[in-house]
Amino acid sequence: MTTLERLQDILVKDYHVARERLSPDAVLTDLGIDSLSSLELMFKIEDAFQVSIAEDTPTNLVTVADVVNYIDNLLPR
Amino acid sequence: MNTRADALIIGGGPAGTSTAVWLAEAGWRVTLVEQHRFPRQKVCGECLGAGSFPLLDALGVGSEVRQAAGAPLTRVGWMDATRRLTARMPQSLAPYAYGHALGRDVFDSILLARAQYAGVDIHQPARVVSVNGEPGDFHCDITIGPRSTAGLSAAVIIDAHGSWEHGPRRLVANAPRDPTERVAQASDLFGFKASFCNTSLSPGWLPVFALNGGYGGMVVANAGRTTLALCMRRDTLRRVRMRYPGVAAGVALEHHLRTSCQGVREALQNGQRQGAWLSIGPLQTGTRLTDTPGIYRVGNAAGEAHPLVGEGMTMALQSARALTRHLIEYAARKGDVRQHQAAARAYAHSWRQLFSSRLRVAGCYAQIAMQPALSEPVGKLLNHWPGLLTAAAAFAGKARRKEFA
Repeated sequence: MTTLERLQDILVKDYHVARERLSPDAVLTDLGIDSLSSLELMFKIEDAFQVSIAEDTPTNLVTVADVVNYIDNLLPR
Repeated sequence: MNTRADALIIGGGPAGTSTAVWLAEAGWRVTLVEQHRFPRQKVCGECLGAGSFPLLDALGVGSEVRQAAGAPLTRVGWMDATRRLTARMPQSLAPYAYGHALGRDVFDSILLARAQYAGVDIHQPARVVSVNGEPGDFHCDITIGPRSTAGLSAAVIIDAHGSWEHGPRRLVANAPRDPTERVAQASDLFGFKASFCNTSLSPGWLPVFALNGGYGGMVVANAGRTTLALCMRRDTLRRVRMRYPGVAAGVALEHHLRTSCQGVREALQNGQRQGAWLSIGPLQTGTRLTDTPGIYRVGNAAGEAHPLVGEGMTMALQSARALTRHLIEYAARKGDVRQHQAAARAYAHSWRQLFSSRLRVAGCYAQIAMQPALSEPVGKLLNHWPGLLTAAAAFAGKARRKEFA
């Protein structure tokens, strides 16, 4: 299962976003994930991927692909 | 949308809108962009200190805000695992002895409407995506709504985006590293807020609570709505979330609060949460005044105290007042770099005079509240001498001895 698919699962289950809207270039704010809910998304990513978000929680994630890249960089290579 | 402005203000919270009003009334052409539609909620303790009200009067919205807000905050409180203490709130200068609490959905909308009335060109939801150029001639790309884009030339950029996101300094192409970023290193604290109805919290009472690894406060704001806001350290938050798996972080914290703090448990016993918990972070306390000519920060973007003291909105208004005075005094809209440097120096001096001690006091209180080894003996002391709470609130800025309007 790819990072994108796992992220899509979280967004479908916890944010009730239709899977067909979750293309890599989908903008998070268009999906209803704004600055007030992005921290909660980071917590869910920590749980699902068993990673630890860096000290400086990112605030420059705009699209689904940005989140996927961010997670991939946290995962052990 | 106007294509040329004297000032572009990023952020429609109290700092951005009050800056916009004061500049517009001085004859500046002002454009303001705000990323959210209003009304909207914010992670905020929602307290307006007594020192806010002369400034709100100067903005022309004082009476509207007082009418909308909750009861005057005449008592301060301390809660920990077992204690629930009350003392009188220190009084500020007449005519406004006490502060009030007001939801950000209402307060920010009042100020934004005032800015619109003052002739400010307002766009929301909109974002500034890039800034290039120099003082007097910045070129800004702005996205408006989901798809539309626009360009704007502005003499001055004012960063009022709050503390949580990157401001225009990061948007300036090839800008050298900003030394203030070192000061504003992210901490390990996250902020949370929820509103409740039907609580038994007494109106006019502002208790803070000490948690092992965090702190918070409660207040009855407008329409009988109780605002509960707290900060929690990352390690404690992780433990709490593991204890309550499968729920949102805020909900886990609510369970934790109800079990670990008697005062919160009693206040929320019959209370019902309205809406979801909002969360944001990490918190960045400290000063981060930029030294980039022509770009100014105001409100939380310029610096912030630990929210324990509930001074964020008051500081937003006060810093806006200081900044606009210096910008107007130095005619900064004309774009002369030396004038900008002089305005920035004068603003930095005012900012430190106004807020440095509040930042230090708030930091000290936050450490006490978060560490049981400190909060336990302090709780015992306050139990014997509740007057110390009044003195502590005065030190934190709750009693204005000097007028500032």
